[in-house]
Amino acid sequence: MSAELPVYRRRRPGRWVLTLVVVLLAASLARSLITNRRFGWDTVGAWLFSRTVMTGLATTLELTAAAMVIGLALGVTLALMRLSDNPVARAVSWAYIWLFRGTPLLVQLLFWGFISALYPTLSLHLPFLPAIGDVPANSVITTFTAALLGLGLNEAAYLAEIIRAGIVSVDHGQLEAADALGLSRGRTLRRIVLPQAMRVIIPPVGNETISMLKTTSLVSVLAYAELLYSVQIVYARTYQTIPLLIVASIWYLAVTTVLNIGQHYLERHFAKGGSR
Amino acid sequence: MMIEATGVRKSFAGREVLRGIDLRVARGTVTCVIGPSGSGKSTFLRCVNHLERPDGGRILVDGEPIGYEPYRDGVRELRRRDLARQRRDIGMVFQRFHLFPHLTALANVVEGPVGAGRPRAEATEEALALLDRVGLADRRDAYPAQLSGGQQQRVAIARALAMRPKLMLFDEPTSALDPELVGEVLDVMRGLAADGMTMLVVTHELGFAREVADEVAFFDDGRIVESGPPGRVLTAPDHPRTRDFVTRVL
Repeated sequence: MSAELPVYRRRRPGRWVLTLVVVLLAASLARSLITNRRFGWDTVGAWLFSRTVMTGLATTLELTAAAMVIGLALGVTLALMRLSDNPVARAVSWAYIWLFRGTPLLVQLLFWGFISALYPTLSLHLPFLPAIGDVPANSVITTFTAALLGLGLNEAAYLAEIIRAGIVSVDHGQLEAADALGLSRGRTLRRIVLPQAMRVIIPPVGNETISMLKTTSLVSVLAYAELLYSVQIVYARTYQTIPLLIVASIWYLAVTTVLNIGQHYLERHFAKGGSR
Repeated sequence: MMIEATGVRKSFAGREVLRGIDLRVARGTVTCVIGPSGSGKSTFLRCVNHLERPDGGRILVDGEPIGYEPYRDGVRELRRRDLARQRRDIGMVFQRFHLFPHLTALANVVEGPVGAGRPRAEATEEALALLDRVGLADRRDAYPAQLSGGQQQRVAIARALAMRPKLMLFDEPTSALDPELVGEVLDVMRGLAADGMTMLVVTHELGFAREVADEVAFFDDGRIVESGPPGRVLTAPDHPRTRDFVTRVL
């Protein structure tokens, strides 16, 4: 094209049509939010920063963080076992993932919650050795431990696969270069493989964290007072079901937003040296 | 002798790639391995630092069997830790560089020595000197993706040298480079040879072989068909296959 010819912008009528549709829908939604008194915005406001809700939120955050830490630590271990030369380690990892991915999390949570029905006391029996410890299960597996075990052990199975995919994605030449330099296996993993695997691992782990934040609400079946169960306790008493569910949703959304921002910065950090 | 290889054999999925390689490389000399692709040159080179495990024969580097230790009436494979210790004395440069993309040029060079337990300050000082030697002191903070192929390969050479190896292996170091970048890498290799480094170089650069090599070994179909000083092997080869290869490449 010659530089002297004027260049016109192509009109995009589709955008105008879509904008109109969205504006109309948004307006009708907004009208309903304001005029439908059953949303109970004054109740939402009254409970949003209440002590009960704040405690529930703190518990949810605590549970999310602790479950993800357990999931990551165990997930890395399982991923390395799955990739190991040792056939026993590979089989154990495979069986773990098969079991924990193959049954519903809700069922697993209930199992941990009712563990004392299965094992009233906990002790370790090894062949040819006397039993070690003999304590009531309910004193060790509190509701918190049951919730944490349920969430963390289940998460580990999913994170193991994500981490394995990340490790496998690293170019084999990187391992050869590390081998040729005489780097130890641990250092190769820490310094060469994992930092590169992170680029593949972080986006799905971010997803998993956000998903975990909301999945902690399942723990309400164990009557453990995380965010959802906290508001359930309130509306069971006051019958203000919808406003209190909105309170919980607002906090889930707020934390998710913060996590999204964190993920963005983590991804940027591990994109170092990348060509894309 | 720096390398003494005897009867090295290797198969991949039933296909024999090395059919009994005998090769000796004297200390302080440069041996170039040439031959058509698929003749087993790279596989042999990779056996020398045990990136490939030979099926038979043996390889001594500086008198030490690589990858194996004596056991009962035979040998058994070394523990990974001991193999790593052996590999630290053998530098390797790959066709496709394999620099660590998430580390700067300087960090790439420092990684090996620090991993081997040298103090970071000392390793950094030496790494800077090595980057200077390959002409890249000013690019120390660049990531591999910001460097040209020739620059990346020079960093890779510095990374290998940082381990103070007694032997350097080069696996077609210029084959992945644009033609105008080949020279800068060969210059660095010439300098190394002039300093007395023992080098085993798989290459298609017959000009480099003629000029720098003390010995040239011609591989064909998993065997060394002919070897000797470049003046003979490259100019007046005895074997028809060598003659054919040399005339086709030149």
